[in-house]
Amino acid sequence: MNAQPVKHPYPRGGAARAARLAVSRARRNVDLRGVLAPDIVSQGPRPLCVAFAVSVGHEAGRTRFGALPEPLAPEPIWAYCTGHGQTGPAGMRLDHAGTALAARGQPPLSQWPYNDQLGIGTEDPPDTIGIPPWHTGTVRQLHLVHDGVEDELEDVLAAATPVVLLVEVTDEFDDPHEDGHVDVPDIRARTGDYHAVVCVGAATHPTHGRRLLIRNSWGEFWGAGGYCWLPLAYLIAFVPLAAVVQPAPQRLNVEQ
Amino acid sequence: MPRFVAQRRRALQAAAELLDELEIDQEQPIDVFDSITRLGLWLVFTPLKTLLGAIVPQSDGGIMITTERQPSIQRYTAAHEIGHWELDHRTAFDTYDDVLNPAANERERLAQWFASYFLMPPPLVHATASRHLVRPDTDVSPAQAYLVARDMHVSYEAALRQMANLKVITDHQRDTLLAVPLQRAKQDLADGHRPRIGNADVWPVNGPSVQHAVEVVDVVVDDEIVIALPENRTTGYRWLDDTANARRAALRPRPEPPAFAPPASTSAPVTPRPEPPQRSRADIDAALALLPRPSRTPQDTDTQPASDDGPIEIPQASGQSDEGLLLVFDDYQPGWARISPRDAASLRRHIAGAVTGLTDFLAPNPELAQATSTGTTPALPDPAHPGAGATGRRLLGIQARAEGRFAYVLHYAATHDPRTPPAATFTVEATVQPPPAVLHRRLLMQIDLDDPQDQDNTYRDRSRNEANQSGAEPGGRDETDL
Repeated sequence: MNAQPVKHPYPRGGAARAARLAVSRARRNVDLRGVLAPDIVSQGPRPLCVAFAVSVGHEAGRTRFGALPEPLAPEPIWAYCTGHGQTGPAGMRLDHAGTALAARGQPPLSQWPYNDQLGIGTEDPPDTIGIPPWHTGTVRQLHLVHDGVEDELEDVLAAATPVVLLVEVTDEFDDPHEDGHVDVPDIRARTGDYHAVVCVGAATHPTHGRRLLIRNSWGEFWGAGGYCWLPLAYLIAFVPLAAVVQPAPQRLNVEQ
Repeated sequence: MPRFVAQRRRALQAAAELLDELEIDQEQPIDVFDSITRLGLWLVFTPLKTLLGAIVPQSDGGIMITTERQPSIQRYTAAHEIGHWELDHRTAFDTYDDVLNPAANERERLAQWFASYFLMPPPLVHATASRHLVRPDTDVSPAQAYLVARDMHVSYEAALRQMANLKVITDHQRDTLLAVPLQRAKQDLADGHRPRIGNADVWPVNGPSVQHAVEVVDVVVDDEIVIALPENRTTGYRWLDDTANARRAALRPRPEPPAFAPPASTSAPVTPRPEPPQRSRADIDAALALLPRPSRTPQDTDTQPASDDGPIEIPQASGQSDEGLLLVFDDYQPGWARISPRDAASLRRHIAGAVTGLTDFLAPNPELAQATSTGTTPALPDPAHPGAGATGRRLLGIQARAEGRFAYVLHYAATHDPRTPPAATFTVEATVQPPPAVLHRRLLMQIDLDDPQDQDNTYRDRSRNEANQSGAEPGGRDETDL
């Protein structure tokens, strides 16, 4: 893979901070929905948000290798982590999903359809999809700066790579405005749990400033058609972790 | 044998004999007011300010009980007065110390022994303690002890003393638990929530499961039912009442943002830098200054039930239960870690980089210990790698406001999605009784109203006596005091 490290200068001082904010607002807008299949798959009542978010990141990344946008099955990631005791009432870690993606990979969703009635359980893969690993990849942490600017995240988006975010489900996130805008909560608002979503774009709004376009896995009735606009300030205190999914460049051991 | 020991034995024996004579099931809570009636004594509830109760042995004999105390104290006082009736047949005007202080004089202590045994015979104590896993060889929490007291319909203190008498708990356990305020025990049961009315009982209901889609509780007016439900907010699902669930049908889809700017390049993959950025304190403070200023004091879920809890309003008592059950608090505990509401800001500041050592504030999800087959203590939550998709706990406190039978139905449904049916339903069926004083007065009134010609005059006389002594009509309430 021809990976290039992202330069991330971090000049100090108040003037530098003000300048970064100004530059942030002047950044080019970016919309990555074109590298994803249009239909939003809903996770239903199952706690598979991490597997869903990684799947979307993986799907987008595969288009670099000429693949058409095609949703990938989240179940193998969940099944792998469940089998390793990495799922439970306290949720599932993003790095564990990365291990599952590297070890087992994902077939297309069409080959292993999602069953939203399995609760916290899982199921064996269909007989027709062969032996794993399927499409594999790597999940790499993207260190957030929590400064309301997030230069590196913006650079990654500009390079056509969606970013997986763990967002706190606050009341504001749960109920976006009519246009999908999410207010930034009070720092003392009651605590929620962390939910994995995918950032698929960024744009500057004349009133709200720089915002991230978030694709959720709660179906098309949530937010604006299943998307929301998350202000960069939300990442200061309500998003502890971010990551990118890097697909392996080739498909291994898949029966044709 | 010391004289007092012999007398104490006589008191206990008298209580046991009376239970047998009245053919009372000694594994069920004792209906002491019914016992008074069956003994042929008259019973008056009246607002005594300085006394808990009195026994007047003249004529047919009768008992007065204050209306100023909670039902458990009223019952214990009633049993105490029966003790006087059975043991010495002399007039007694009993204060709090006479009824409840173990250092009272010998006559009162004998009545106390009688009352404890009569209200808490060994079969009832052992059965109730066993149901709540109370044993002398294990740690007994204040909440467990309170549940035993509540289910025997006696006070916390009386239950502890009788359990120690019967060696269900040790004297040390009794003394340790007596040092814990009763309200603390109730708060422990209600995840920190204080009942609105201090004397009210708390009824935790944990659900749902396949076996317990419906929970039935029998409560008294003012009691609070605390429902704890698993809720995974990272799925967009929440527990909704009938009204909120029905309101989902009106939701309409909103269009997604139109496409606006395809990426400039799709060929050059990027690798995030491996190390986190170094930031100064000024950088962190400047970032925190971008957040909205706190507009209110830290959340107090006891006094501030959430009023805007997502796209669907928080559950309200539904249908026929509008007047009977009232939602008094609504809270959510995250599943990835147990975090006090007061530490919410510390958690966010930690994420922003301003606070270190956050693990001091975090505890594991208590469900993890139960889920661990070995029973080992789960690892502390790691703020650097928090669990996503965790299952938290929704806590709903419902106060019984009126007597009757009420159903509180909750649906686990996607709040924003009108098409998907609820994934689960949970129902609490509550039978709400009035306090004992109201029940007793109503009984007397009912006897009068049902059969005014043929009814035993004794009851009517008793009712009139009650009215005369209290200065009010039967069934009414006055402010007479002794």
